[in-house]
Amino acid sequence: MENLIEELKKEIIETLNLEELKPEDINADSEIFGEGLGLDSIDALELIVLMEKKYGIKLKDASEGKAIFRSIRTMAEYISKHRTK
Amino acid sequence: MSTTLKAEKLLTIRFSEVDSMNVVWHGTYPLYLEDAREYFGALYGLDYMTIYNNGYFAPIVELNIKYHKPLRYGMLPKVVITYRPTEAAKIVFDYEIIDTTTNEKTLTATSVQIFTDKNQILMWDNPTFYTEWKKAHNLI
Repeated sequence: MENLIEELKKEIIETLNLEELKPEDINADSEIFGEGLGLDSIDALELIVLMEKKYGIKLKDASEGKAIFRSIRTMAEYISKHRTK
Repeated sequence: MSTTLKAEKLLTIRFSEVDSMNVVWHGTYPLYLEDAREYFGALYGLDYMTIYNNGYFAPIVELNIKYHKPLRYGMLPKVVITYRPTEAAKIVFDYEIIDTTTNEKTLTATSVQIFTDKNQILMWDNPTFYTEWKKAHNLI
């Protein structure tokens, strides 16, 4: 799980061009949207592509996604359960 | 497989678009870019009404403009609009405004649009009609 969390931090920085952030700056339990990482719902569209391309997970429903994208840790937990690649 | 979809639209600078410094006012340009988007949409079948008739809106959520050189009344510029393929549920365009007399680039810009349904709820996934459109143009 910790490896997946570290991988996700790097992927998110790369996907969203967050060049000013380093993986160690990101707390796995901080909120991804709003206060924590400060991402917005438009950024979520890129996370959805990341989920599909890298982990083979197709998310359809925004309300489901909200819980999954709460923090890096919740994302990692969901991925480890549902990944198809 | 990917191709580049591109269109060119000639602009007419209105007298009223020029400011007290005798150059086209910076706030005018988003309208030029929108004209180019509409032109592109009509050319390739991704116009606002097609989007609307499929049950969606496509609002602009990001607009980035770099002003390289001024445009003045009487100049004959064109907008070159290029569709940038993206896997996310977005429409991304790159723009260049070029003075057709000197061939100089006067502006570069990028816009990002997302899809909402008619209740203005953000679409997380590419609408089917948009995926079909991409396929029809060999973009995926």
